[in-house]
Order: sequence, then structure tokens, then C-alpha cells
Amino acid sequence: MTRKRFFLLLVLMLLLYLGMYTWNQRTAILDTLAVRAGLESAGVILRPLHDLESVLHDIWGRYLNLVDVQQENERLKAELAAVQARMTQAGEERAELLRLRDLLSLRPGTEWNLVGTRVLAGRMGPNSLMQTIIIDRGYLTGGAPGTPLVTPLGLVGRVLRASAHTASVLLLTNPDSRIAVLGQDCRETGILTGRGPHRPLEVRFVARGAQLKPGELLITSGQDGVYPKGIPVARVLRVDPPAYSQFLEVTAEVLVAAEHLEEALLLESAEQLPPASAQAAGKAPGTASRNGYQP
Amino acid sequence: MMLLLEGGWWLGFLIVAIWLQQMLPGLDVLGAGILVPLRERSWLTLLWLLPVVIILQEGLGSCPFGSSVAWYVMVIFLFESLRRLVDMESFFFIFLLSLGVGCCSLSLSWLLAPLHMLHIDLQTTLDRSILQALFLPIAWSVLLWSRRWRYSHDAGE
Repeated sequence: MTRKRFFLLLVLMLLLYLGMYTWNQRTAILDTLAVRAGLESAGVILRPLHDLESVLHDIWGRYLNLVDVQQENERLKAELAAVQARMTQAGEERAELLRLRDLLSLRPGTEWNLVGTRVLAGRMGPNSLMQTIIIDRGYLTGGAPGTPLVTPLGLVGRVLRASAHTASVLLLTNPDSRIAVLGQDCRETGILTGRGPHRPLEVRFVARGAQLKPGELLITSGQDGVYPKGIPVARVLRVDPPAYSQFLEVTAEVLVAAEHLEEALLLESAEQLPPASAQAAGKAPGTASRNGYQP
Repeated sequence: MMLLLEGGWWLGFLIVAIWLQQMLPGLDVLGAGILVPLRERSWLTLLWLLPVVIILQEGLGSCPFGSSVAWYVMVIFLFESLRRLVDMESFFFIFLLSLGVGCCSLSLSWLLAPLHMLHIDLQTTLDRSILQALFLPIAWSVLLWSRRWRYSHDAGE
């Protein structure tokens, strides 16, 4: 092959590549194909592997950690009693909230249904530039794109891409993640942004005069229309006065360490459910409304 | 019989590769399999394996379609260029290939991230590229070792 032909071939390949890229950007056909075929096939392989890992882990845990079981059981019983007491209190508060809401003629808004899911894997392959995890739910089983993922501790992220039974979730530590939050005590709003793995989060656009304090919990404000209001997201680490801008420089830490996550809950909006399921979801225990969230 | 063995080997490879990718975030294990048909000059295997690997990687990834295509074209181009310059059986070949793959991984992420409008962490990308470069000689050795049956069969014929 002469040098001229080689360069011609190179230019032709580059043009073909850019043509494919642009066409896909416009139609998303290749993206859909890759997600529906690739992610789904990988999920088919990952699910039994994950089950096998769990079985082996269980055997290991049962036989080698048997000594600690009794003590752990006692501790868990004590914790369970404390949680039950808190649940009873929370139930009372919820009943009071419903009464007050009725009194004020507030509509509860769209309900959310909690769907359990297992984490199959973390970030996988050379093409996963974002901080993501892979879960065993897809758009047919409660994990449609945009669905928030939570744990009892707080928010993990939201579904980015989904095949029928598998989905990848964008973590809130990713630099492209943006979440509208407010301080639980001071009620000041801001935008929570990730800065990469093992790095504190950044809270932008918090007004200079805000009374935000280190240690304060940040919860979703619900203003972005993606997350229901009231999900714990992060805890404030530092609040520094601004050097040049009119906003405070705030850093925060995540509440849920995604690298150790095994199970989580998807907050499926009733708009994604068939009418009968949506009605049932609204009445099911452990549901959340757009106006508030209770894990 | 050979066809069955071949099919079983590739199925096993795909399962192990996906499992390893789950264990080592960001690492491309499936890509090491692309080097096998290139070494064996088995174009038919490359013809079905390449789309399967691209679809899997694109599905598992978080970027718009296209990164894996560019990545594997670069790897194949690098392999074919080096094959013309260095003996494939020598250590120098796999050393240069690993070095090249590591550099390609870093440069591709750096080039494509603005195109996808994504933020990339340079340190994480650099770590991933080094891991990829270190992983390749190990994968190459293991893959060739696991396909001894194939080479002895070919030699027998």
C-alpha cells in the first residue's frame, strides 16, 4: 500500500466514524441497540455470577464468623427494638402530617413506589468514564432512566441507561451529577455536584448570608422534578466564606458509600406504572410522595 | 469436535472476561480476546467477536456509542503495525503493544471526553491506562497458554 492510499484510507475511516457518530447522536439507534443488547447480555452473565458470589460469601460468613453470630444477634435485637420505637413515632408523625395536609387541602401529588434491587457490579469496561454502578432492574422491572436509587441512609444516584432487566446508575459523586438540595435545618438551597470518587462533593450557589453549618444534613429540595423532596443526600463538611463570588464555598460528604453497596431501592414514579399498580403503590407501606420521602 | 471446543472456549472467555471487568473497574479484559484472532489470523472469528465485544462494552459503558469502535480500531491498528516491525513471539512485541495500548487508552479518554461533554478525572484515567498496560502481558500469556490445544492440533495437521 502506498503512502497516499494509506492516508486516503485513514481519512475515509475517520469520515465514516464521524458520520456514524453524528447519525447516532441524532437518532440514538446505536445507543439503544448497545444498551438493549449489550447491557442485557452482560446482565444475563452477571446475575448468576453474582448469585454464585453471594452463595460463596454466605458459606464463608456462616462457617468462619460463627463465633460473632451470638453477639451480633444481641446487638441487632437491640437495634431492631430501637428502630421499631422510631417507626412507631414516625407512624404517628405521618398520621399527623396527613391530617394537617387534609386540613390545609394540600394534594399529596404523584406517589412513588419503592422497588428493591441488587447491585451487580461497579463501573465496568473502558467505556465507562462516568461513576456508575449496574443493578438488576431494567425499564421493564422498575428501573427506567431517571429513576432515583436510594438506601435507608440516603440517595445513591439515578438510573442513567436501562435495558429490559439491567440498568446502570449514575452516582452522585460523578462530576456530571447535579442535584437540587436544601439544608435540613437552615432551609437554604443549593446545587450539589460531584467531584469524582473519594472526593468531597461541592454545594454551589449557596447564598453568602446562609446559616449553613458543618455537620448539617442536606436533603433533596424536589425543585428539579427528578427526586422527591426530603431524601437525605449528603452531610456538610466545610463552609468557607467566598473569596470573590457572592456564594459560599461549601463541601459535603456522601451518606452512602456506593462501593460497598449491595442492595438498594428504586423510587419508581407512579407515572411509570400501569394504573392498577400505581393505585396499589400509593397505598403500599414505605411509599414516598413528591412532597416528602420516608425511607 | 474442534468447533465445539472453540465455541466453548470463547463462551468461557466471555464469561470470565465480564467477571474480571466487574472485579477491576475500568479495565478492558474483553479487548485482550480481540488479540487472539489477530495473532491466529482467524478473520472469521474476528468478524463475529469484534461486534459482540463492541456491543457489550458500549452497553456496559456510560458514554454515547462510538468510543469502543475507536478504541478497538486503534488496538487492531497498533497490533498490525507492530506485527510488521517486531516478531510476534518475542517479549519486545508484547511490551511495545502494552505500552501502546496504555497510551491509546489515555489519549482516547482525553480526546473523547470533550466530545461526549463529560468531565474526566485525569488521575483515574491515568491509573486505568497503567493498569490496562500492565494487564495486557498477563492476559496475553494466559490466553496463549489456554489455547495450547489449538496450536498443537494445528501443528498436527
